[in-house]
Amino acid sequence: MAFAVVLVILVLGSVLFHFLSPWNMTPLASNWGSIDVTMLITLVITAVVFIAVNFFIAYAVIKFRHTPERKAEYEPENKKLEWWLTLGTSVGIIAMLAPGLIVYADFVNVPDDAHQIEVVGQQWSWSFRFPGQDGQLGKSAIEHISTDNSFGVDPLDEAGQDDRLLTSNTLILPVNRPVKLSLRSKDVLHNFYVPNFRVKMDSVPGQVSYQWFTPTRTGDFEILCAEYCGIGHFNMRGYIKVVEQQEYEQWLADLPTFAQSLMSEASEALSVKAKQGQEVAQKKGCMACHGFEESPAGPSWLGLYGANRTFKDSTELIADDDYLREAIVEPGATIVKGYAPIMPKLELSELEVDAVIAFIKERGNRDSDAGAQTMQKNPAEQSKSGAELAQSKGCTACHSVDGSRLVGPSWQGLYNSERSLASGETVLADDAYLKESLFKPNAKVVAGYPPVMPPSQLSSAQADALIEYIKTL
Amino acid sequence: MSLFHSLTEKPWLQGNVVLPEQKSPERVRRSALKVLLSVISVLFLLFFVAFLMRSQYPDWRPLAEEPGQPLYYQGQLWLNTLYLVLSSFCFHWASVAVKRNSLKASQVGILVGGLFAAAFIGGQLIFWQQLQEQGFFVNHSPALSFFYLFTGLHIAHLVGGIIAWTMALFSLRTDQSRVALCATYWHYLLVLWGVLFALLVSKPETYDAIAAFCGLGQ
Amino acid sequence: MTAQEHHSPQSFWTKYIWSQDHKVIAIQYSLTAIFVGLIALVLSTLMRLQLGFPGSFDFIDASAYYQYVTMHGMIMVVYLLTAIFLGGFGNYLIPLMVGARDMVFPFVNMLSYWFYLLAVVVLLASFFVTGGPTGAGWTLYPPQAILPGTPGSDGGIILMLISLGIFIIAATMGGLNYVTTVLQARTRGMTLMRMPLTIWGIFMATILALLAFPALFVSAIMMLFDKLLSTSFFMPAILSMGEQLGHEGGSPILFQHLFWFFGHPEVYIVALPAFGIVSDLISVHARKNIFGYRMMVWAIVVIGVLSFVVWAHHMYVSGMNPYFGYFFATTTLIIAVPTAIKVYNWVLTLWQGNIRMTVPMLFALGFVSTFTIGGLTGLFLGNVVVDLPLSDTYFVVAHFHMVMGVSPVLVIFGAIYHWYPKMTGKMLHDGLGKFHFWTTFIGTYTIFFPMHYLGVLGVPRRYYAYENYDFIPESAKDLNAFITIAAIFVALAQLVFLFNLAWSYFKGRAAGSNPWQATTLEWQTETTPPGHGNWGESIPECHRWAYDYSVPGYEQDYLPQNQPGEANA
Repeated sequence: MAFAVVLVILVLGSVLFHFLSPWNMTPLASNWGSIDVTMLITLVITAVVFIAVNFFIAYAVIKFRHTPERKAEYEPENKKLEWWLTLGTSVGIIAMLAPGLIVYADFVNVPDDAHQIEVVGQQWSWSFRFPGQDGQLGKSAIEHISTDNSFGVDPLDEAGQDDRLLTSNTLILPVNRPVKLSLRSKDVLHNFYVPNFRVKMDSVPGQVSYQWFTPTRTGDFEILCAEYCGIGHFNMRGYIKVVEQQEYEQWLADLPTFAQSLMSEASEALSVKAKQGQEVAQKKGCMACHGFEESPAGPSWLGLYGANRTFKDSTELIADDDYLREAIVEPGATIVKGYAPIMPKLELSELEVDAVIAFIKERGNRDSDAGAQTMQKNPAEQSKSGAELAQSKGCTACHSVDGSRLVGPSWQGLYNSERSLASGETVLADDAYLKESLFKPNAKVVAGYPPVMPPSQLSSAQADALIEYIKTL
Repeated sequence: MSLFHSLTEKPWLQGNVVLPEQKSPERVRRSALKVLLSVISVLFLLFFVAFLMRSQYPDWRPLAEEPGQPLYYQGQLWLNTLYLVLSSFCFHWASVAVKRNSLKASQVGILVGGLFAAAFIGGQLIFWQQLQEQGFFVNHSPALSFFYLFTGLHIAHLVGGIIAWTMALFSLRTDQSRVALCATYWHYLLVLWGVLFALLVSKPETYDAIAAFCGLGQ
Repeated sequence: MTAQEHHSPQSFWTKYIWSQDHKVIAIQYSLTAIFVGLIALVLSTLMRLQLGFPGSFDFIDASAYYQYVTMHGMIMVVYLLTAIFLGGFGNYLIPLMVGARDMVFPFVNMLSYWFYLLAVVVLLASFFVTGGPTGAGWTLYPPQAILPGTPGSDGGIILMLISLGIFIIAATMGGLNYVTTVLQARTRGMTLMRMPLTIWGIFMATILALLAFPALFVSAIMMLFDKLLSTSFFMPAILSMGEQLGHEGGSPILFQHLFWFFGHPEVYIVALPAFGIVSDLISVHARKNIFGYRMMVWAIVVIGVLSFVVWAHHMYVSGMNPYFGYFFATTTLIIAVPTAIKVYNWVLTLWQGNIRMTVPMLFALGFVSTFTIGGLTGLFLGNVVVDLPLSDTYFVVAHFHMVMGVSPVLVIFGAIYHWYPKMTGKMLHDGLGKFHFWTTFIGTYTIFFPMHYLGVLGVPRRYYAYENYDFIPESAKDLNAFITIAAIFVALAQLVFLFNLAWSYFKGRAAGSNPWQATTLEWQTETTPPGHGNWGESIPECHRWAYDYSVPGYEQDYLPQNQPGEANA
């Protein structure tokens, strides 16, 4: 008896809860109203079954409660009833599945007029790339990623030169225009999800996935990461601002292109790998003959990567990774015109060779660009205060500014404080320490925190701005 | 009585259906062996699927296409295969001998079969060592990683078989039923090795064809 | 095997520790599983504390939170539910219900338990290595699971994978035994269709386990290779913490396919034994034969087969080829049909019954109700396009807790209340049992029903904190606090159950051999609890199916399976 009453109360309570609950779907802001409709169909059908089953149990346990004088019916099966129930269930299933698959077909097939934007996820921030005039995104690969090329755009791909880059986490989209997001990841799985747009998709390292939608009203929306991506997952934030087409175009035109960013973003800090390369090159004595100035002993590394080389036998070749590797490993095989075959064979591991190539690539090409052209910094990026940087580069995913403990140490009162390190030493958090921590985060980790911070991809000026900001906290 | 028939009977109507009193231990063990072999088959089948899916990615390099690839010289592997064939044959011979009640012959068969199996394991380890000496470590290429994985697991199953072999050898005087089970297991491992070997040295086109057939292509 | 082969073991050690008796092994399995289950329960309470009252507890930082999430999930799914249904109930009930003296390979059965215990020890050891246990989420998705940036990505994940490997070996040894025993050691007259549905459920679940666990084994080994030997099975080129790793070309999606090829059947490895047990509980306590027995058996078989072709419905938004979505949505919704039939047949069994509202019956009916919710919300998630907004939100969390957390746990409780008298000879205390049922049933309902609405709102799962998200209203935080309080309440109520287990063992009412007046063979043993070899001098013969309740023309309202005579007099 009690069971029947409780069951009825639970069912009625659930129905009541459904209608009174303040927790409903976020207001729709995309074309995916059809998804809401399929969900409603499913809700109605399942609710009917839910109520029917529970009421049936409640009724049965009262009506057929135990009495010693009665005996239960003996009925092994009832073919007819069972087939009718099977049939009814199948009809219900089809009523849910059919509309679902029809809407799904819309989701799978991207409309032809959709414009493409690339979303790049990394621990724990988002960045975005837009195709330039040619309407095409340049090729990209993890191996191209360096401090100056955080998207890993292939520097040799023509199509990539005019791509526009957005490293801050606020994406602006035009209203009423279908957009196809190509999703890519640098490290682990992420998932691009905006509740108001309904759809979501994982970004997977090593491949490109996609989703599409049409924003149907202007306004501000939040981007969430919906696939667990490590310790900072819950704070991997981003924002979308949907605006009129014209405003979007103006904003887009102000974004730096890849070619510009290579020049302007050139920083003192080399990528970790290139730094290793620098060490190797110095230790093994490469710099004695090569270096970044003209020298009679060996070809200069200045502007070497990607340049055309003419060999003794007058053949020509672009100095790409493969060529450089061969030139390092088998020095006698390819001798550039005008130089003597005097380079010794070195015992280098594959990783060391890669590091040296990275160093040649980054250091050599940065100087040549800087020398050849004047710096043209993007004013928007420059004026960005440290506070905005902290937001847009994802620092605040792990560092609070109000003293509360997140994944990393809070920035409040950090500057000029004594920090005890995991190694047992104590350091003063001065400018030098903070800057080192930005670029080599896991060298001096504060005791009690996991060594999980990725090196920042900032220019030196940006790092200074960030440190100025930390000082104010 | 077919499975379909026994699953459609109406148990509340039937009179007494009498099963045989007790199953003999042989029959129970044989049944368990069948289940075990199905589990092992599924295990390796899943590895094959993983292998085929992985072979469809662009960085895949075959193992035995040209000199300089790890499995181009297969002499040692063929020698090992011969050991395993002989081992399997000895077990077969031993199980036939059991049927003819020839204890001595089955003893010799099972002993020699075990030795050949040990030779196979040793040969595989020697081949591993040869690969290592040439610098072909386990992370050299995905296909070679699979090679180490497959051969390692195959050896692990053979080692498990050798435990059963020891038990069969020691109980041979009192209970010969285990010999036939060992023989079945050995034949199975031989076939498994054949499939593994063939898969690992196949041409990329073969993988592509199988993958396409199974709908695993990219 | 004859009675003479089963000499009763003498010393304490051979009787209770190195025992080869399936009943002792079953109890060893169950107690170990309940022990790790309690750890998982504590972990879940800690998680809820952080979610309900964020920041109030200093020791729960983000790392710790994710470690709790991971270990809670893994322990519940594998080390508690799988182990207790197969190793616990499977071990205890299979030989008794099919009329055998023991499992066919008692020694392998014992090894199975010790391997399981070893797996548990290795798992728990990961709490004490540097970096702590893995915090990769119970799905252990690479690349994140083995990279820095995830808690416990060194020792923790390695021990986790090794522990899973050992567990799978244990489960395979146990599974070989269960399947062979059911196939080859049934007593005279026990045809397949005369077996109780409990055995059918456990039998089919064991087959699923034998065929699905290899997929987990494969993925665990390949991930270990990636972690320890820098191979590239699942690892593409990656920039981790600003460093280019040596991997190249691997596929994280490949891992997900393998994992869910295990992971989805795993759901049914837990669910099918629960289905079977519930069928028997309802039938016994409603004093009526299970309605549509044949349909129930077929449904178990069909569900078992179909469970192997629905795995990618966990991967609709994983970045796999989106065209797979059509296929897997269709198969997933088809599997709902046999599942629905089972629900219908349970409730139709009540119709025209003579229902005793005993504690096991309360738990069984509670299961039907929670399972119905869990099954129906599954229709949202299985329908690919409805899954797009809901996947990776709290809707998923609420769904799978209803369907494979709360529901199977209710069955475990019901089954313990039902079979404890046979295992110990004592009845569990009725009043405490009812208190336990009401708090657990209503408590879990209030935890998980509202949670669906957080998911509909879009609140993502596996978030350590939800501060400063504008789309989440303040009221959602109150709801989270409410859920946490309900969860603590439910967790505390389990102490009553543990007390009941211990108290009744010493002070409980004597049960007699067949307190529920059930037909199946385990209730017809000579002694209670059954002695070594189960049956005394001779093995019982089976003369009828397991559901001769209230047969017309008989005074008694049940006919034991070993009672000779025509089914319908």
